[in-house]
Amino acid sequence: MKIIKLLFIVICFIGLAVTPISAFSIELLEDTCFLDKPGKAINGVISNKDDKMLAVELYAKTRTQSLDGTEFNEDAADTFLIVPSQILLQPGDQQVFSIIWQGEAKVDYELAYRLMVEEISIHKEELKLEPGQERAAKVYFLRKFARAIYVAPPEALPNIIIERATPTKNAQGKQVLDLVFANIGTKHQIIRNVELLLKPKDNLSAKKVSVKPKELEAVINILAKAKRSVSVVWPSDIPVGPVSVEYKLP
Amino acid sequence: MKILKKIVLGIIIVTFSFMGIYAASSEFSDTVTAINTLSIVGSDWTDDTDNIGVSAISDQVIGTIQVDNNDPDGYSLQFSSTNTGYLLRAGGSAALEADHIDYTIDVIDDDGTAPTYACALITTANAEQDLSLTEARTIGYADFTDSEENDHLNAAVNQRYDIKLSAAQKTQLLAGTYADTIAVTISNL
Repeated sequence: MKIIKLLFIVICFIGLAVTPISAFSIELLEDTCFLDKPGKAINGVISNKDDKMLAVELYAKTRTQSLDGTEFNEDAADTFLIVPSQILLQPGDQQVFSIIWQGEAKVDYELAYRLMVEEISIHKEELKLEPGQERAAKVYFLRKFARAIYVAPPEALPNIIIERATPTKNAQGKQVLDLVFANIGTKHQIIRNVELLLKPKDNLSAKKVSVKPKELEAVINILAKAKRSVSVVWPSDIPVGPVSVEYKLP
Repeated sequence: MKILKKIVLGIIIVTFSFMGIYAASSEFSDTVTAINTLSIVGSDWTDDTDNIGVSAISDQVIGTIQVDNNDPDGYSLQFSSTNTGYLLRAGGSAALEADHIDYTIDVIDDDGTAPTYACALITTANAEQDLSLTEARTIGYADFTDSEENDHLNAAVNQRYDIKLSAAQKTQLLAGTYADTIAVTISNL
């Protein structure tokens, strides 16, 4: 039995050893460029953990959100100077890079961007048909990183409010509470496991009912000056109707 | 002289007392390095069996990606296609039926079990299966405390996802090589 176990472990090790893994990683030393700090830059490191040479391109994109959280990105090449913006890394090598803010000297609230780090395909083996062969197919993979970066004024702070709480029915006819969270502060805020405290508006003497909706367990990043809408199943402890809602973060 | 001795002794006692207080109040702290690695396991998938279009492809593993990520807010994976979800014939046009095959992908934990991470930020009702890459698809994985289980899930270590491709039979395809590039983007929140 011991020999079988040993054989199994050896086979697993051999399997791991022969399966090629091409890996690369990116780490930012900070994610926010504070405009009162010297340099006005964010620094990071790219590591090539492949056994092949790796080529990557770095560029920045704007980042905005719609009410349902869909992210929109547009080119922000003029906003940052990225040094170097193209990197060729030998196996096992690392490279430090800087993202330097080129925009206004002052901003009123935190601006959100994405740093894109994109693999450039340099090892692509073109597919060719063998004699007598009619068709062949291939799928290539490319890796990209999209890192959140921010440009912020000094002492930026988030301030999340519930702007709207509307009883309504969803597309399936289920009673839900539509909430709109608004970040009226100057910095993004990541919320999760949000607890709601509800009270019917027509009964102000009623006790607040605490609920932790499943829909608010998810991690939600509300950017500065952005709004996010979340629809939660109507809590059974509260009669359907207008409600006042407060929230609590863990 | 005695007074001087007493003063020196006093200074020594006070110094040691402060050292004692300092020692008692000192704390040990350390940091865990952030990890954010995206890997492709194995080589690019190739089908040179002359079977493309002749018969349907069902849940063919075309690649395995590995994520190592310990961001407390989790991560999301986005899959997008260079040819908007087609295997396109080299030199062909996506507008011509005979030049392309539509396909869908499934993104499945490679051990076949439920994901280590609870899924959040899912953009479609069944976001991990039958994804047509006519548009970019995003799947979110967040490490959160499950309120019912009161269980804090773990960071992703060697978390592997198999990418499985399915395509219907399409016998009217022209001869040639068919390919697509799938870009896998890992994002933090």
